[in-house]
Amino acid sequence: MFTVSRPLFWAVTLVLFAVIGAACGRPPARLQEEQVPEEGHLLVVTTVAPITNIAYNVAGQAAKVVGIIPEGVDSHTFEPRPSDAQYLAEADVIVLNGLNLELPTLRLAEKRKKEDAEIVLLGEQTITPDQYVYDFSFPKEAGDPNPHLWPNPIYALRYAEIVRDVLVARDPANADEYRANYAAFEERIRALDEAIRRAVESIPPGNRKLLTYHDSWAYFAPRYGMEVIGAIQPADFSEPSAQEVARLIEQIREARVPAIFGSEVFPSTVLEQIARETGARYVDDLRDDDLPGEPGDPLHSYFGLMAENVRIMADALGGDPGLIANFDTSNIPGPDGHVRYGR
Amino acid sequence: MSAANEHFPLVQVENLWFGYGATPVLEDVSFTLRRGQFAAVVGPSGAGKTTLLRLILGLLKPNRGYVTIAGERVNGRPSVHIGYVPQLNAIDWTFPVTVEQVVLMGRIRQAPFWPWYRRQDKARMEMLLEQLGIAHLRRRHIRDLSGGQQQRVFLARALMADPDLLILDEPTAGVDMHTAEQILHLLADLNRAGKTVLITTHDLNTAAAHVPWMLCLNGRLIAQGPPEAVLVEDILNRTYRAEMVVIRQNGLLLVHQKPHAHTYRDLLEGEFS
Repeated sequence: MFTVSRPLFWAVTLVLFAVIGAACGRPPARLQEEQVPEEGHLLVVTTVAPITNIAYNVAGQAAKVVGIIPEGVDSHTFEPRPSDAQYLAEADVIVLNGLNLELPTLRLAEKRKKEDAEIVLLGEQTITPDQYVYDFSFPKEAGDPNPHLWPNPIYALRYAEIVRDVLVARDPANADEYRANYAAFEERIRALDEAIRRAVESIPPGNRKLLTYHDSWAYFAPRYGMEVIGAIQPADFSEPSAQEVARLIEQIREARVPAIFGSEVFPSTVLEQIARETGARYVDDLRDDDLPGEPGDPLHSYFGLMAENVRIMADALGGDPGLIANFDTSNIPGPDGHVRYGR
Repeated sequence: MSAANEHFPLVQVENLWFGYGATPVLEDVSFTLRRGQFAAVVGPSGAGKTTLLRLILGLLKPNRGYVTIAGERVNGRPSVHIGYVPQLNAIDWTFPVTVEQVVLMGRIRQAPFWPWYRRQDKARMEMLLEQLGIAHLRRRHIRDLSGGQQQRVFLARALMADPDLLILDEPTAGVDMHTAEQILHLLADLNRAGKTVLITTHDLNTAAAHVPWMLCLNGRLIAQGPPEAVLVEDILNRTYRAEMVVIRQNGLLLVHQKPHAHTYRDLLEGEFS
């Protein structure tokens, strides 16, 4: 009679379980189908998520885009990790916001980059020093202008244009794809610009005021007729003093601001306190460098970032959020689930 | 709505798997809806559209994955943020209730312990009946209404609790084209007034003209995006597993299954020759 020895039985069982487990435990593919760029493509290394996303929208599947600053991490104080040094060493193009936003990364990039790799500073190529804004969190004495250019969609479009030109020059074989992606990106940016304008115009004029924790709206506000009446975070990225808080409360009462805004990256009990004392509504989810949703989701894009911010502003300031709530936020080249955003 | 909820997309469906038996109906479906979106789930019969809604409502439990509504995990019972309008043919029309009574039922989940309605419930019902243009029908039995009117009654019921999210299962099924148009215009108005709206439909052409975001479902999520982006032959063929034609003319989109290359006569002759 045929019998199976006990060790053999267990061995077979274990193998079977391993095979079944491997088949079931395989991580499910993300949303829809994504084309992942093959090895051998141009490697573009970027920093904050909005810039990574803008670069992806231009590069599409023709180049590999890797962002190194994780979403939700304060970009102003970010120190690159050893794994980031490796990416910088392999990069063909290194795209930074510039205007001293990512100084430690810039220094590391200069030290580690391949000889023929190119470092691109977007901010410096977008505005001239006479357009630099110095303000609450970025006072002139400290020397660094406010680096948050991208919340202005027209500056974001310029960022995309700079990326396109670099990619076309470094990788002429894929020039057509870069140009086509840029053209579609431009069309969507124009639509976004228009949607933001309409949404802001729906806010009663006296309410078109922004009081935020971190000063990210300096280049956004003037374009749409909004006023940045203050930011709470001092230049050294610490918490404001009691005196400063008292002055702000005074200012908010005078300006009759209906809402004040925080961000998820910089949770602030001070803002909460100010809101309580002034009766303003505290809205703590504006974003400047982390994108809404998860990679692979159509909301996880520069368009999603801006559409959500403006929707939240319109909602809190008495405007009509419906004017931007259905904006198409999907990435131009398709879902971005394969793009690395610093994680 | 509290500030904390704004952190999250209103609806988050994450790697959802579900099957009634061994074969999965939904395979690894993930998507999000942000506040204020108006979206339609489209796909053929049996694609899992209603199943997906039932999972979002918490009426079914996923095999894998999860759903969150305003950051809260859906767990066995409908979220208070949702107003639901079932398919008309799922309703027992012989049950003897009037329009008023049906609409007031929408208040039950927020109601206090005692079983009578409060003044503000009545006032809200009045407002909704007016807004939806069915105030004159208030004492009618729901059986004696047209499809469009019935749809409005159940919409009013769903709106009683002032939900953030409205979910409608096939709101345009079983009504004529004119009524379907009216229903979608009504949903667009509610969306403009701030409601997030999710519907299922198999009527691609009506949806294309009225809904800004489409989710193409056939077991899996095949694609999502604005109608111009997803109503293309490649995506439709994969969604409907049939050959589809898309006609674009003067900004209009028309989708149809590819006409068959035979007539009834051909079939007959093929059969009998």
